[in-house]
Amino acid sequence: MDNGASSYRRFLNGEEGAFEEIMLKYRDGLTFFIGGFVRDIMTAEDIAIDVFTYLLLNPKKYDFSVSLKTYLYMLGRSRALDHLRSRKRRMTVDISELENELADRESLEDSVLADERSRAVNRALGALPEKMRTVLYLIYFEELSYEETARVMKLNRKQVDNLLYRAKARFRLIIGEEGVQWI
Amino acid sequence: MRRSFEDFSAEVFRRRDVEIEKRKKQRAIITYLAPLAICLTLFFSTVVVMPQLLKGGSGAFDSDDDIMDGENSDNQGDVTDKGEDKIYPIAISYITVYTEQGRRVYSNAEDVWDVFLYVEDYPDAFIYSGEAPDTPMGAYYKVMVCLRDGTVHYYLLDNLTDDEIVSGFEHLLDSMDTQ
Repeated sequence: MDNGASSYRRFLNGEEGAFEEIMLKYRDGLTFFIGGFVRDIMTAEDIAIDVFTYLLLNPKKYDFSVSLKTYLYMLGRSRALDHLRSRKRRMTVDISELENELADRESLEDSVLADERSRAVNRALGALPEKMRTVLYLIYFEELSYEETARVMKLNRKQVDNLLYRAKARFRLIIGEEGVQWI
Repeated sequence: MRRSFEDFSAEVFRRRDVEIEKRKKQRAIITYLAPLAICLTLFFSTVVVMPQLLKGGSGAFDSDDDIMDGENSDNQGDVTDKGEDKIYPIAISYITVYTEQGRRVYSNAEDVWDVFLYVEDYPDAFIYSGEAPDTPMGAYYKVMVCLRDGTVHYYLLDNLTDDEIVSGFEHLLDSMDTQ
């Protein structure tokens, strides 16, 4: 599996439709991943659009040294953190917007998380600190390698190992309380 | 509500187009406005500032003139002031006299002195920069003096009849040629 690299090569060769393939393939996962940071699906989608726009505008910046998926998640995480830094702490949310947000979240969960068990696990992930949640999500949900996860999180391999060990320990406690068996 | 994939994709390409337009405008500013700014600067320096400077100089031998007041001179081997309160510059690299046959360059200090002598005979002379106006004998009456400090000065004999200009410069050129 080339994680979108072949589509991207076709896009670089002038096939614009290939870029749509990339978006189709990674849109939901990337939005969901970003949503884990910003906790707002609309904002996450907006940031995901920015990520794809950046890729369109700066095709030479991606050098194929990592998988395209890893590159997109690196951009997504970076922009999500930028957004969190710039966002005002106080937010007012309209009740109808909140209902839409919940509906959107469920719809996105349905798309990204295949079964009820995955959803329960994901909900439990929400109780973890950001870094622990991210490392578990990238490795177990997005199936990125340790090296790719390290690139996305701007950590080294050893730090990912340590973080994952601690995250799993913390997660077992939480998931045990939710009654979901963790392998 | 979340966007459909079609809307999502369209939004990505729309933002791409907006960004491209933005970059084009930025490039246009650099491409067109920068030269325009240079042209405006040149225009003001040529049309507004230069005439003011020229009006300010009452003559090539005005004692207030930087060329003549010795500020740019090392004063070594000063030419005498010929009995008047004037110090003539000797820090002259060369002068160019425009003739119908082309320009002639003189670098001898004596030549320069001759030019100044000549100009001094005509108090209406003033510093001039630019093309010499058309006259029957044309280019004879435009003199360029380059000082060793890198500044360039043009001398134009104005308010003179063509005969005066021609005879004066012919005399000058003859004297230079014989040296």
